[in-house]
Amino acid sequence: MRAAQAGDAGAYLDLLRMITPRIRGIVVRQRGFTGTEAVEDLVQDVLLSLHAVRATYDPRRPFMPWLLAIVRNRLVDGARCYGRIAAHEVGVEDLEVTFAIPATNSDRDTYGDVEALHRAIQSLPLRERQAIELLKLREMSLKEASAASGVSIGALKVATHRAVAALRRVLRGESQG
Amino acid sequence: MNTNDVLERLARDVEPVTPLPRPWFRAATWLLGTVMYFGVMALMMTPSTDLVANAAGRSFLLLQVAAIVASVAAAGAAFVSVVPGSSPRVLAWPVATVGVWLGSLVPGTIREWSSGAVSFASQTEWPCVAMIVLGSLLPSLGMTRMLRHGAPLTPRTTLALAVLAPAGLANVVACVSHPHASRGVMLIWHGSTVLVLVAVAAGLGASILTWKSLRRVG
Repeated sequence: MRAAQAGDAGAYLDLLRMITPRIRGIVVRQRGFTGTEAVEDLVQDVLLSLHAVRATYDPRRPFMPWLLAIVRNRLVDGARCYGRIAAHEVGVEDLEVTFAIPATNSDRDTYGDVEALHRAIQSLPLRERQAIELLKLREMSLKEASAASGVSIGALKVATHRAVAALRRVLRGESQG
Repeated sequence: MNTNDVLERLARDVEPVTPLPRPWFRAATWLLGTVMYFGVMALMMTPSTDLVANAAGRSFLLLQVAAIVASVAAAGAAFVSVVPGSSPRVLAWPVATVGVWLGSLVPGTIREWSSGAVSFASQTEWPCVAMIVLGSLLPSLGMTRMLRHGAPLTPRTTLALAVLAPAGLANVVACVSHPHASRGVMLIWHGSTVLVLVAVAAGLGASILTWKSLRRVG
């Protein structure tokens, strides 16, 4: 380390190669459960920290207590960081729903009681029933429905809006009744 | 990045560094500059004859000696705390000396309070508070700058000590700058100001002394 402080790159590389397995061993013992990548991240963090504070090493004192103090400190910081992430992280792959309201998560686009829906459509006034049949059941565009029925696009829009509101009223009333 | 690549890159970029002097030597260097700073400040704020009169009295002098010892211990402990592998027992010194310093004010405060001789509510010491806060600002910034060359192993404690050391000395200047007859007032105003500053510094420590900032400095 004394040579490394003097700028000897070869000696520094030898030292780093010598201590890295030992640092990895300590990290694996204490944080092995976090996985290989996290362990390597911590080992690299220790090495970068050691490099940053190499001026604090006193050549008159033993090297290992100095190194182990840095390792311990980085491990504690790493554990805190891991705890913070674990506390706030949500595993999206485990989510069964994507929204809080159950109805929003339904992948079905059809009404459950087809018979009731059919009855409700038949009970609509002629113009509204026609608009629903052309636009919703036959899935025509407004332009096509207008050409087929001879009703203007604006009138079709109004009729559809009214029909949907009426169907909602009727079907809600039926389901509650 | 692969760990082997990190090793090679660190070794390739290594530059010569001068080992930091021993912590107590660094503390002595800082104390020398700070004592001169506060000395000039005390002389500028108070005529020398008043200075002698204000500092008279054995118990008063002992109190100031306790504050100075607490400051010296805090400065030393702050510099020790940024050296990996140092004994954490050194951190007990400032705690003990601050305990002695503030604790020595307690008996006098209790006596004054029980006798009703001093009305604590009516006596304010805002100039002393300003003196302690503003006076300790520059030296604590200086010490923080010096501490950033060390390892931020205990950033909250280190920064708290970096504020305690000059605040204790600023308290001495505040004490001798004008007469303080009441121990209770000193404890309430001076003691609580120092403790609040230390608490604020401890709160900020983790965001000021960080490994990331150190890597930028390095």
